[in-house]
Amino acid sequence: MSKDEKKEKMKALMARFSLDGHDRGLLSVMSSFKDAGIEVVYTYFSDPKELAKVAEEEDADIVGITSSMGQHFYLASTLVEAFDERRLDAPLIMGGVIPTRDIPQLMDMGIRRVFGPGSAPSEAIDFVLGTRPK
Amino acid sequence: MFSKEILDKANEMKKVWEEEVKEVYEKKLKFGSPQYTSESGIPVKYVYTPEDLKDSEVEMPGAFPYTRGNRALGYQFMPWMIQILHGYGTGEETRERTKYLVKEGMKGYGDQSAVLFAVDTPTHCGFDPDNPNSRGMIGLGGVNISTMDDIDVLLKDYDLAKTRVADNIRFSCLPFLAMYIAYAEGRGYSPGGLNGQSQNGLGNRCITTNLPSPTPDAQYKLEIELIKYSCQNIKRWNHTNLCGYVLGEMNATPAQELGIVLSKAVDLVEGGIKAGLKPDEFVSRFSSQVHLGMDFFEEVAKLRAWRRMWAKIMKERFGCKDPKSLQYRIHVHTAGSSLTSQQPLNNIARATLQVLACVLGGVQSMHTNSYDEAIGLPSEEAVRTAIRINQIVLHETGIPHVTDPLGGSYYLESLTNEVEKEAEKVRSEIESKGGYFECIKNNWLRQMLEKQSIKWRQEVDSGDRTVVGLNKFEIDEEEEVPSFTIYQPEVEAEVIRRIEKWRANRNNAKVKDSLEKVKDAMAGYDTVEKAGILMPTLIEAARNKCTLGEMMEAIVEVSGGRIYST
Repeated sequence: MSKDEKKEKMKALMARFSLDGHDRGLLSVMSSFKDAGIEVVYTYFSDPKELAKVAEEEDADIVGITSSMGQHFYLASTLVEAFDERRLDAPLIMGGVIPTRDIPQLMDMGIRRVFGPGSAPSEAIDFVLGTRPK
Repeated sequence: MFSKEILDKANEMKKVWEEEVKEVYEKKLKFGSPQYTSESGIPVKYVYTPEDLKDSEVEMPGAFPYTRGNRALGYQFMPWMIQILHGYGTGEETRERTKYLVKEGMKGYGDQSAVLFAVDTPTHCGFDPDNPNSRGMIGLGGVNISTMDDIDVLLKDYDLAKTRVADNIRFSCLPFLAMYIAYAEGRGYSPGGLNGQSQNGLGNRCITTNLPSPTPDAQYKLEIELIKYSCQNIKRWNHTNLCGYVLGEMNATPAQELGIVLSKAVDLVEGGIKAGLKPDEFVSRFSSQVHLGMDFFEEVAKLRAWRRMWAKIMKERFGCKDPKSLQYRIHVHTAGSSLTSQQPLNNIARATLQVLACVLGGVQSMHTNSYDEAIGLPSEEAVRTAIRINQIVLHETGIPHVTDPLGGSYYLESLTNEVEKEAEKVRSEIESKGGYFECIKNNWLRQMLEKQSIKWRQEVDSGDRTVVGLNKFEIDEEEEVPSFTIYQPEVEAEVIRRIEKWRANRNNAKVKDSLEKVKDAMAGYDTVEKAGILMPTLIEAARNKCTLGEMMEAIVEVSGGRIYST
């Protein structure tokens, strides 16, 4: 398969931190992504470096993380560092239970978009499709 | 339930009513007559009559099958327990919150204290704080507990003989119980004098949240082990919470929740019998943490059907004779999934309706969610308001003055029968597929719940389901509710410092030796018939200052598991 053919479909790597079991939102988002023609790979990780490795191996176009227990700052800082180490440019997005007031800081840290409680899956789909390389 | 004369008269009147609906509403006013269904898919009629109860039996509170309540007198004699699950940060922070909750009205039965604490995920899974797997998660969602010192921080002010200690620890609940027993011994209490609750719900947690856990076969054996140990040694210990809450949070319908929980109960009772126990020796110490959602009448019907089905199964299938084995005790946790982060004060209205449903359903105990829990940890003001909802219903409304006040309602009695039928369908389907633990292994239950979650979201997105403030009646500018958070890195550093100190102040040769004994016991525990050999080794390990994580590691090293499936 040539690189161009492969890129006809966007590929999203969706990940849950292994010690945060809240994946109900993620399941819905993944289902909507699939319906919108986005290829989805679901994984979990306990070490952010592991996730960066998987993102590289999967050649993911975008990486979505869920966080519902308050670990979003920890994940943002360790993941951005791990992705930088491998020079990955797939945007990192985040969803889950994340207080609105924490969003600007997460974006400063390098998270491209945050979808908090009440976000519709369509918002995330629009964002993902909007990042497709022209 | 009714004489022929009453039924005939009611049917005559119903015909007149049907005629009016048809002629006036449908023909003249062009009313479309939508068909409503309950959450469990039960068709709901516009009106109910004695006809709907013609095959029902007259029932009374305090009499088999206990649909109307376990005891002759309900809340007149004993109000429900107001229990609030809480925990975060360090043990000291959690202890302060406990004190605040007690001051505002949290209590057990009579003069008993109730301490119902939530732990963080490393504790649930049995990872010590200095384990790399615990990074970033210590003190989130609950307090970290790894040593007897951590227990002491929470409980040193309490008389353990008069305190109901309930933790929400999942996979590592056996090591925790061993540590609690060793801790209590150190303060002069024997195991027999303790009172509280273990979750003992390893399986449920793995189908709903996929956290690192022992294998399903090991989960089953560990649950039976805890049942056997506690019913022989700690008579007042409620060994198992047959938790429906986490199923409801994955959008299991009320009937599915009840059916799944009963299928698990059947597996465990059969396991207990294999382990050499008589049902009446351990069945009375099961109870449930039930999910309470927004379908008001169906939730009330579920609570009533729950008691009835339990009583019938335990009497007819397992031959229980002790009334306590048949009188099922229910603790409710109002649905976290019904809360919205939008217009969060609306959540007080939701919680109020849920508390009302619980009281009409006759539960023993309740956790009421705070209105800000979709945003973060509850603030003191929010959690106080959650307690006040209970106190208002209890003291201002007169609702608790009458036991089972909806008993005899044509609608509610009929719905109770229908929920029972639907739940039985779910239960027998699981049984036909090999039972609850088999349906965890083959992933059938997990897939069922995943479908339910996705369906809920699709209904919200399409507008078929209304959630006020989320997809209807939205406002342009959301009011900011300050979320209450902890500074996690500081908690993590402190907790790690404590466990390092703990490890430095013990006899590490003894630790190693006792962990070997735990492994030997687990290796020898190849079938449930041998239940009873593991807990004594865990208690000995706890006395020798082994940590929660070390004990869990020893179990899992032998049993296998941890990450169960993707």
